[in-house]
Amino acid sequence: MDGRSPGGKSSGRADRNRPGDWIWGRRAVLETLRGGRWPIRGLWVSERIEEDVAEELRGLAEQLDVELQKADGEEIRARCHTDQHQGVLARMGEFPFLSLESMLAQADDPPLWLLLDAVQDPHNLGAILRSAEILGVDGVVVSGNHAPINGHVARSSAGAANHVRIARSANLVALVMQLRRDGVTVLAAVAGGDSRAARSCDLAGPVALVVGNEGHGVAEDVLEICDGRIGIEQSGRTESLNAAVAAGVLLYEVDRQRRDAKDGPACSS
Amino acid sequence: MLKLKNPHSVLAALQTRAGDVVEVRFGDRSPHGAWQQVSELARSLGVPVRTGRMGQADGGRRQRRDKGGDKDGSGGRTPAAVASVRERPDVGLEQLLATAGGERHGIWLALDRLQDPHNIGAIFRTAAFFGVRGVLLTTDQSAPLSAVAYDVASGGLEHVPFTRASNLARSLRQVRDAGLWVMGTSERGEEELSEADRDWLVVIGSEEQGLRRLTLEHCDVVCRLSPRGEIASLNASVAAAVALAVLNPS
Repeated sequence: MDGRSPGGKSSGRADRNRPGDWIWGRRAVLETLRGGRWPIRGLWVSERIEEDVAEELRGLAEQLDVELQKADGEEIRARCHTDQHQGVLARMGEFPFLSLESMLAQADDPPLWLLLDAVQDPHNLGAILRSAEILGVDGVVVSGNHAPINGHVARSSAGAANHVRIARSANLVALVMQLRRDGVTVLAAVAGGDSRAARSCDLAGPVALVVGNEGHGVAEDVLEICDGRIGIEQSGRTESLNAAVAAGVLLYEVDRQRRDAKDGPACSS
Repeated sequence: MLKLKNPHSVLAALQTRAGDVVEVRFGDRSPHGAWQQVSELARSLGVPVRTGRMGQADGGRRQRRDKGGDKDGSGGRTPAAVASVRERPDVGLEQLLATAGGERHGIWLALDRLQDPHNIGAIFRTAAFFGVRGVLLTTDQSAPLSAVAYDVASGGLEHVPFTRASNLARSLRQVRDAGLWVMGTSERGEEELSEADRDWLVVIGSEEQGLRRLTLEHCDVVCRLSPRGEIASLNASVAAAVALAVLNPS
């Protein structure tokens, strides 16, 4: 690394988390507290919650120096506007992105990076983070006009937002160039015929996948400098897959090839 | 009546069953992109096209931007248009399985009590992409096939036949009697996913609980998708897509 990262502080309004950003539900809140990564600005807990859950919440709140307030279900509902809070609500601070430098400095061998170019739907972003965690991604980089990482994303990610390493880049083109200089093969996910099927790509080495915006895909200037375009073989009629689904399928293929490579020489197809 | 706000789901409905499209209502802006295609196709098919305020059709609820629904560039916040479309009918299990046992192997899906209409819609979109022959859904404790599901499916709900079952275990027996093999997907599965070497029906479990014991008993094989990770399993729609991509006969 040359010390000058293509990332850096993003100044865009769009990728700043909004204040008043809530996470609710026992599992989601507990996981966020246990993760200890994401600052919590406040915690509301119903008095009618089971004692063991309440005790763990109290312990974690104390450990993290978070103020815990008792509230009844109606008060909690009034804040998060849903009945699905299960008596536990947390107000989240700004999501603590890693710096690109520290993310890139730490990876498995071979590394697997996932670069998201303006993924805007929080369900998609959450599902992608979840897949990224399960399928062994070393780090996720969000870029462009992306969905903020907030309570919606955390819920869709089933907690993965607390575990996956996430950084952001203000300049995806520069990041792709840097990765390529470092020997990483950067492949852009594209829909349609103008791509190579994932199954016939060698994904066992250092790889970065670029997944684009739901509407217009990976930006043209990023596409141009990638090593290649990767796609999923179609056998039906719908034109494209949802972004989160496509990302999951491609990450699975990387994982599959790496497991095969580890298990011994795989037969090539 | 479904109120569809994704031009791609409306286009698919117009292409496959225009008679069920009751009207298409456009806001004050003149339609562009995919909505313009909708407008032209609807007019050519004699489907009523109206313009005017969208207020009542929108129901005051803000639409989520989602899954191809933003291809018209409207940002998904104020829909450019709303189409009133009748629900697509079930085909019945027998009809769903009618192409089983043919020369070319096929893939079917069963969704066991999926709760999230986004997941159901995303699975239909994926199913259409991979040419799934049919989808079997449960009725109890399952999200209905709502407008959200249709819009997220982005046309997939028009292209893939489906039927709904009140008793999945009984339906799975019928499925096996029709010559299909039933594959469960679970992180506790004993085998890795294999290939499309026969007619498979793949069962996708609910977001929270996965597959029920009774459902598992009706599976010929239970496969796991990945040995990794701290989280129990992939998102249901991603899991379904991974299974279909691996089994993809193409």
